[in-house]
Amino acid sequence: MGRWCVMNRVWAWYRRHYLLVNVSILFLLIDLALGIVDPLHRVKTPLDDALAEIDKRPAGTRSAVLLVGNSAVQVGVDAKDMETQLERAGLSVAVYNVGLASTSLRDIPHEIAAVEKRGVKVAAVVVGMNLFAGDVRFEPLMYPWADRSSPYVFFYRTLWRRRIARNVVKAWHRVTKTPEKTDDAGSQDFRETVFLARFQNTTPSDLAFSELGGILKSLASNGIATHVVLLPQNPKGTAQLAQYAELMRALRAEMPKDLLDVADSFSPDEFRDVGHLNEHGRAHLTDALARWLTLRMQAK
Amino acid sequence: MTTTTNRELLRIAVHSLFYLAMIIAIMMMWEDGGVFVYENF
Repeated sequence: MGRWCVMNRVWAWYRRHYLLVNVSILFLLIDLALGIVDPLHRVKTPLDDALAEIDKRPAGTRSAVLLVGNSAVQVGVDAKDMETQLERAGLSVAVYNVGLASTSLRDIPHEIAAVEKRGVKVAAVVVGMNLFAGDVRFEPLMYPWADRSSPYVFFYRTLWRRRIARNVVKAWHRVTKTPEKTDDAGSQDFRETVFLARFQNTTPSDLAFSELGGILKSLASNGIATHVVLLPQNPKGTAQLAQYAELMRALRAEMPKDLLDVADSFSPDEFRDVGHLNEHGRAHLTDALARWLTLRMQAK
Repeated sequence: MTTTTNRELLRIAVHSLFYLAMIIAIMMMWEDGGVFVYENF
């Protein structure tokens, strides 16, 4: 009799407050499940491509030179071609491009760690820098090292929205049988706008170039040689940015003195947009970088 | 407990899922300070 009485009271309480109980428990369960299943990271990222390339061209007994940085490195340097050029100069090293779209200089140690985890012996890194690399206001969320500090849905809200929007657009094009606009065609204007929107209200203090010194120092203390290159940016885009010179001055001030500075020495027809080179620019930068690196590595 | 009907259980389930969906939707639409995510190049 007494137990029934208690059960009835509990049930009565639950009937009044079922939302409070159910919603919080369901929310916790869903968050736990999402954290374990991690659906957003089941999509291939540039990191997966970079690691697949390492598996395709294993270093074997050679040590490796890594090209690290953001998408400007990812699309701007041909690692395989560079490896061939270094080989021809008598330097037997594997060269891998681990430049990852949307990362900043804070992601560089993670990029290197991801490769070392594969058992590759890293002897040197070539750090590609541009304005985007110093911009730590925007965190890339698609890489596994994004440090989640709030519920899954909330933390990855931008990524969710982007994925949903993209899939809706894709579905729309599939239903209406119209071709999707690709990234390459006609998007230069858009990306120039993106560059301006990102930097026109930016002052040097918004950018974290001063952190590069610490990163280079910690790499050096781990026995990894560091080479810094200031990547080319499209003069057609940078000319539209009023404080470009000021931002670049701040960037150069924090760079080591022995860097390769090709920031302003490429012509507009070598670019896809402001920061990304096309095929011609890629070949140009790869050659310049390989020559410079050969001299530096032979001098050692 | 004898007063609980299937109808009431259904109501509890539907309400819970509805409010949960609302909370998740609000979280997803929350202002993010203009975070810009490049994904593919």
